[in-house]
Amino acid sequence: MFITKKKLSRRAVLRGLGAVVALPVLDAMTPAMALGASALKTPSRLICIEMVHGAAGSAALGAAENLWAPAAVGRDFDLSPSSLNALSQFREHLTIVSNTDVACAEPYTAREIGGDHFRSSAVFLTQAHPKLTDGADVEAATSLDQIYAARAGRQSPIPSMQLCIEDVDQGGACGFPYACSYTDSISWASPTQPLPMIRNPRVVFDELFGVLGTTGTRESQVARQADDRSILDWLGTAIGRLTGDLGAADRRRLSDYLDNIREIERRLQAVEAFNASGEARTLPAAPVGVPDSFTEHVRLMFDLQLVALRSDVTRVFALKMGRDNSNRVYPESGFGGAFHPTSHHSGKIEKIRDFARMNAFHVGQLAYLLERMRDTPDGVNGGSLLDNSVVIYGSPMGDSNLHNHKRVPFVIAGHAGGRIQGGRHIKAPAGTPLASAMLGVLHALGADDIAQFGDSEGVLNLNG
Amino acid sequence: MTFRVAARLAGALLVIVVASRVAGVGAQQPSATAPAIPPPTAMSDAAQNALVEEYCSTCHSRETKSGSLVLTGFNVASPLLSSELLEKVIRKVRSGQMPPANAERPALEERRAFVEALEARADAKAATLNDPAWRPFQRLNRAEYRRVIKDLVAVDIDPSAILPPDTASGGFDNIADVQSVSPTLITAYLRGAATVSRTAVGTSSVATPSRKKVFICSPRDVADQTACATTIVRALTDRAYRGSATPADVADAMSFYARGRERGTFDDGIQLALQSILVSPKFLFRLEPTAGTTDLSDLALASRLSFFLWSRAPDDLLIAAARRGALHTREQLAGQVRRMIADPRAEALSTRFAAQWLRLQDLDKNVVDTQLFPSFTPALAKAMRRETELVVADLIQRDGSVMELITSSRSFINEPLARHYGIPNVRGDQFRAVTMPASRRGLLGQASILTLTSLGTRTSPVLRGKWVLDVLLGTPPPPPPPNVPALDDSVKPDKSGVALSTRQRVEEHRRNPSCSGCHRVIDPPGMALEQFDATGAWRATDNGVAIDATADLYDGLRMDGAAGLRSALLAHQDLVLRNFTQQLMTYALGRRLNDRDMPAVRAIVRSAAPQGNRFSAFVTGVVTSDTFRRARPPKD
Repeated sequence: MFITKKKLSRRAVLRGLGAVVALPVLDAMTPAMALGASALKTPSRLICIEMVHGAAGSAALGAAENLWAPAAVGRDFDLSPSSLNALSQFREHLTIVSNTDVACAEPYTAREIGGDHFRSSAVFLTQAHPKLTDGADVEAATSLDQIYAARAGRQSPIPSMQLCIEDVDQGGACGFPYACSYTDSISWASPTQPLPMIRNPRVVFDELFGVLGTTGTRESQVARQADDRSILDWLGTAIGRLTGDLGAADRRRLSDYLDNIREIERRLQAVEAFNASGEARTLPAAPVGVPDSFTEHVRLMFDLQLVALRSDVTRVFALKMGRDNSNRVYPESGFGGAFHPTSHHSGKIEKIRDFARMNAFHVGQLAYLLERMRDTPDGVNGGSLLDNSVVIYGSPMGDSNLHNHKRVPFVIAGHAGGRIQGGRHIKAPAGTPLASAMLGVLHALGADDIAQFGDSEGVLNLNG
Repeated sequence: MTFRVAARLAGALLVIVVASRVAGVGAQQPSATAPAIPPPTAMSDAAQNALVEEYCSTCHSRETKSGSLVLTGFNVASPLLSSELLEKVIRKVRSGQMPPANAERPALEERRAFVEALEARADAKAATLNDPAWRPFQRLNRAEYRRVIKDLVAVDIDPSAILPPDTASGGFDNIADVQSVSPTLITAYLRGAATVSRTAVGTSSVATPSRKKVFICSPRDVADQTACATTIVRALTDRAYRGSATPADVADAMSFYARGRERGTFDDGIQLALQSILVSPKFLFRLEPTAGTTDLSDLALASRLSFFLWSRAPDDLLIAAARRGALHTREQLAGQVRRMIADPRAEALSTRFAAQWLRLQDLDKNVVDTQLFPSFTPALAKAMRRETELVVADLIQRDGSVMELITSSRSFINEPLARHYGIPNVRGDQFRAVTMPASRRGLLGQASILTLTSLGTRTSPVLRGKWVLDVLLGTPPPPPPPNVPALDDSVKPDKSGVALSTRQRVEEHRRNPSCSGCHRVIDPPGMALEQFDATGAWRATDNGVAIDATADLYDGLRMDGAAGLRSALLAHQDLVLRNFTQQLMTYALGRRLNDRDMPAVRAIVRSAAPQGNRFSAFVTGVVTSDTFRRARPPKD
């Protein structure tokens, strides 16, 4: 059994009995799954995690104390001064890439100065400079997770999922003439399509395992799925009837709706084929809502990702763990300061150290995920889920006090089925774009035909 | 002063012209053929150009380019003059930000005549353009979905557990062009339809409000089932599709009834029919077919009205009015507005429109340090928010002047809030009307506003000042540059080691010349509110230092305390009302305004003045405006 109820049963978060859904594990898959050639080998899974506000170790004084990047490069690095020390038990699985820049997050024009908080998140996974607009004409680039999802994701029922921890609700839009979607989302399906991020674990659960409902007997579920399909079929024709007296742009909007309906039909079919191929298993009980505790919320999201990756419902996740300008306090960290003010440490070493403690608390959340990925057997190669996955964690900002985007924090965990060796600290030459390291990740994921990602200058060798 | 008299005359003339335009609402003639308003002759073009040359072009020169703006050789009559530049100059001069208070500038009357001439020019230009800006259709957002579902089938849902968050834009959650469609959203709507329809139908043995609402007939026998189902489905489609259901729509839903009935019971049939209705684009999307002209169809206009005022679908009365063509004249629309804002469903204007305009959701963002403010509890925060919502709701119900938001001593509090304010004899959690002391008149005396503009540990004159400039005056300051030192660190205690007040530290910060340019404008309204602590409680000292709440507004107006700030806002009533209108219009239209909307905004403000600036005057102004009543051209 790959999941126990205990794992997901958190205080005040979960309730009720698990719904019974047929959910095969990868090694139980039948050839009827028709996954194509890549089904023969274990696919790599990808989790992209963004934390905002850079890191203490990106400030000059913080770097001197190795609060993020260790002093030594190669395999013999000492993590003890670093916020990454919370992950020391996984050092063999880590590839720390330091000294890279996110130049596309810098202001390009005078009007963009001061907009770093509202622009950065859009840059993290796209490595493109967002167009300055507060309208619907947003533009960045297809994000790393979506590039991979377009290749690997379509072989699973749900190509990718986007999750977040912080609420997007904020007065006065987003405070600068940047559209809120630049601040709200890190995933871009195309240069003009930011994807919504889901905050409520219950909604994540329903989307992953219910698609259109999770309760009831197997028979009633089959009947409901047939109903759902008939409704989707009908929507196609119903939309067609409506377009007559609408303008061209409205017709386009309806046709987007139709495309999405078709995509959901495809997912539904895939889920059904998928469910038919496996033995019945008990799913974790559905979570009730959003926990107040940051740690509980993050862990719940990790639990859901683990179940989804393990059962190959999806292969790609993006998780936005923070929100720019957030004044959230993290009582569990043992440090009382609020996030945004603490990140403005004035370049004073004591304050920088305080911020490093907050960074350590954030990075430390990954330990929960990595431990479970390491302990989960996966695929046909006798490895673990961590062996067959790539988890990236980083920030599009560097020194949060200066709002710069230099020497940004970035770490990779996992081995991409052996293509990333891990256990090393790579210090990139000064001025190396983070995009070069991300291109290295894409190549490790098998997308090695891609020559350029964002402002990359060649591919950074992750095993160097 | 001839300028002054002439300007007044021109203003009066404008009101008349504008009034006659509004009276023409619904007439056959589109206003493209209406005569253009002649530019007023109050201040000659040459005089306007000379004023710019004398007072503006030194800083806004090709060399200095202050604010990236060049006004050298400014020619007000140039056909190349963009509405963007025109409105920018209007904004800056009208607000008194330009020319700066510390620079040489024309007398107030001359500035007013100048800006009125510019406004008249912009308004005349707009009248000839006849260009209601287009936006795509809106979809039901979280707040609307909850209300519409409740009205349709009496099911209470938590939309945040079903729908992805709404992308905000222009400060509101209903802006059409950012309401993008994604598989996540569509899955959510599909899941919502499944859940809601099952909950609504429930089990036949239990009578629920939902069943009462849905099952308006019950079949006498099996043979009667289809007839009864048709009755139910017709009623559901009619309400769900906001009056636009066709026989084909009923037939479609009936085919789902048949499908459900075939494999189960009568109830199963109704449930599946309802599920299909709840995912129909006619339900989820507010499609706005035109009436074959540039006007919206009457039903589409009814929906715009009801979603604006109620965040809900139109009721039977409104649909009936639309069907008999009674939403055309100004009187008809004004009558509906009066009826609708007096209705309890107008709560949405306070809990949604005003709450977002005033940024009440930011109350949740301020994590108040309860060690410093032990009386602050989540219940108190909730009461703070409720007070503001109730004050706005009351103003709307009474149809009072919008300026009462600044000046009124009428408020609504419960015991926790009364204790916070030090007001005796209010018991229990129920809110009741009270007369507030002079220090707490208007929004700026309310703990909600004072807390959401503070930090967890102290007040922030910067955030409070920014809120006043941005939310009340509509003159937002630029964003802070990077590398701003945090206030706590920017200054040490003085030589004797005595701690400083927040005011003193802010002033120290402002001594830095690179900061003072902006903070001289931003901070003063916040300084005037220093008598209230970070949770809005009254205080006499800060950090042991006696409160000094005097400050000069950017235009030189002296303020002392909250009362002084209120007087300053009254002196800038034109800005307050103009900004209020812009906010109301943004929310009503579901799109961000642009410079070309400003003539319409000004017309609404002007038309509200003779009506005592009553709330309904602004609402009626918005709903009778061309841009509210028009759609894009029928085909593009």
